[in-house]
Amino acid sequence: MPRFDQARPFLTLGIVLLAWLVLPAAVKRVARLSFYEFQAPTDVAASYARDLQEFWSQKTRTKNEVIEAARDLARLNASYELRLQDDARLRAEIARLEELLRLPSYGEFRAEPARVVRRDFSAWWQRLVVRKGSNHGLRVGSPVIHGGGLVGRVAEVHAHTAVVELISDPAVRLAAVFDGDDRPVSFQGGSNPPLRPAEALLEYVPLDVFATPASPRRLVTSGLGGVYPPGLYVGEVRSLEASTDGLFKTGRAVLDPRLGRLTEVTVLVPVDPAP
Amino acid sequence: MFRDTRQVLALLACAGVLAAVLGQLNHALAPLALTVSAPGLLVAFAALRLPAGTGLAVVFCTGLWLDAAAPTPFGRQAALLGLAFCFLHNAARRLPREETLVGVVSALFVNLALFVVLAVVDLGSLPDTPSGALRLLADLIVSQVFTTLVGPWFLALQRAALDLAGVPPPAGARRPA
Repeated sequence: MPRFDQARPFLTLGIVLLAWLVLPAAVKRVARLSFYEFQAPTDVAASYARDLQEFWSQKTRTKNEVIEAARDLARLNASYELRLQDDARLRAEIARLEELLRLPSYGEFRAEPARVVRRDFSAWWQRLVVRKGSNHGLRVGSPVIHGGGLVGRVAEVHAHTAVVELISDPAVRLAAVFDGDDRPVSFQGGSNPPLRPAEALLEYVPLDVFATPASPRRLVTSGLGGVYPPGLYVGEVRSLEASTDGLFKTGRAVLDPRLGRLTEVTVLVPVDPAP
Repeated sequence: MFRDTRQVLALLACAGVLAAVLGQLNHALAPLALTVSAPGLLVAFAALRLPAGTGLAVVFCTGLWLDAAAPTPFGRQAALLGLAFCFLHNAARRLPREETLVGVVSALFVNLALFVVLAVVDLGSLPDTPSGALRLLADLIVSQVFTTLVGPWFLALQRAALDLAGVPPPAGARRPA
């Protein structure tokens, strides 16, 4: 009798797990969504509280500090206006060349800025929750960027929030190229040591590419696969070594340390998504 | 029946509070590449102080709550927490289970066991195993420190929540009914 008493919790758990396994997938999906949407307001409320905290901390600034910040901002705006003019000229040039060479044009994106609600960076996954969801037209698979380059892609879209899978996530693989080189290399996130910026693993690097700590190489998106636009900064490669088969090189890319401190990102929503 | 439901809801609310605190803490720790998790705290009180059925319901629902926000198969953490509950519930009769210290130490053991199980099962799937192992070790250390510091408060919160709901846990008996 005492032995049965000891086995009873295991028996109950076994029955519960068996019932859980035979439960229809639709029921589990609804349950998961319900649990998620039930806890989402907690994170969103906390992010609003952080915004309020930041607002009040900014209120403590002196007038001189605000005047200096406004002056710096005016200088930045002036330089950005020049860059905008340059950007318009380059866009026109690209469109002219595409028409001349009959090249397919890259997809158009709408930039949707979103506040970061929660950073969830573990050894197993690296994700962000942002404060915009299907209510702002976000779509699964949309690329996400910040001032320092590529952040990742939208993995889940909920009613008022979306989950972004970072490029440092072990599950993320993409085709990248070295800046100034058009040969793609394999990029995989997932090296996230403690107290250090995340790193990514590189494979299939051509043998004639070199990178050292003294002369690192920039890694950018290739545009292959159609998910990420080309030319977005991904990371910096400081060392490469021959792979075991000797046909290629392997190495590591150090990702932007700002990825761990993101408070705002921009989601690139395809304007005319493929059906 | 209603007594059990009230106990489950009260403890689920406490689990929600702890999950929210952990979420904010991990948000703040993200620049340091450290993660705190405390599955043991979610299991300890239910396993030590509640009857098997009620405790399992609390732990399983808490696991589903955690699963909903994680990119793992839905039900995986629920199953792991359920298993930890069963082992701890069986050990409870040999322990002075009303002691806070026992609750905290149990939570530390559950944390350790779940970290080891996950490391054994999943570590090979990480592309860079050495840095993954180092990260897990660092995460385990900060998680154990957090559990030690927060454990007494959280166990008291759960006890107070049950008292507030008018359904205190059974006292006196060495083994839950």
